[in-house]
Amino acid sequence: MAHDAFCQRLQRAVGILVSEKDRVKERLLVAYASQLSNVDPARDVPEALLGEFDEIRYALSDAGMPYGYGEHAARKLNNMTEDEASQLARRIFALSLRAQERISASV
Amino acid sequence: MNTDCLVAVFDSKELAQQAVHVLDRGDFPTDQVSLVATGLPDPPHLAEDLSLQDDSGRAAAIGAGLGAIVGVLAGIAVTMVSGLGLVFLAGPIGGGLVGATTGGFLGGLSGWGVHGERIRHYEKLVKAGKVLVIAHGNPGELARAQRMLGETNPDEMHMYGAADTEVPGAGV
Repeated sequence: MAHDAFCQRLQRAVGILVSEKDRVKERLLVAYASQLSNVDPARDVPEALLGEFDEIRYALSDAGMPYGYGEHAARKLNNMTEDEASQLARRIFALSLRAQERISASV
Repeated sequence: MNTDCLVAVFDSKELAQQAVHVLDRGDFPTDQVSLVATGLPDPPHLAEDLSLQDDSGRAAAIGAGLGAIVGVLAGIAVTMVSGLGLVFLAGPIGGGLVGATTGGFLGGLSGWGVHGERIRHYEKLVKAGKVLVIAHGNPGELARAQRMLGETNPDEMHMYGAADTEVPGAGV
């Protein structure tokens, strides 16, 4: 997956967050599981965005992380407040915008 | 045709529906996804509708039980299992229903590499009210499905190959 594919994943995640009618936690679960869980940070994410992406990923699921507790997104979201979930959704929006800006600047 | 499959077990119909939704949004082909559930509300007159082959009543009754899943998965079959009641089989596994009658209501899983002992295990889980989400496809597709479904926190999840062997380490 190239960087523009990462950007597309983020855009699709944002699409799920804004278009679906479920509670924000449920939308986050679908957005993360269906889109962001398929991102390979080492290969797909531009270095300038890697730190922010890793923080978002860790907040949503640390199952694949060597320093994590093995908790998947459903469990992490279950333990999260609505405010924390909304904040994470906003961070995904912001990261998507930054990724798009990078793509636009490079063409 | 690929005969590998991934079986994920969920505690409720709602959680299973969410898992199917994740696969759908993640572009996993939904014609390769099945769902098996029981313990759904028994819609009035469903048994009569089934016996009369009244398609409109049957469709409405199934829709009442499975909701939005009806529109996502390809085809739905309903069978009456002795001592259990109605079992809903949505997706391609429903097509294996007729051939499955001698091997239990999940006998169709044998075509995707799930062996007899595990089929009986899944039948017990369904009888206990659990809901199965089954994806079949090639190993690459199933690895992606496993990653996506893993995030939805199923009770258990295993991958099976055409050689009738469980993939080591694929469980959750």
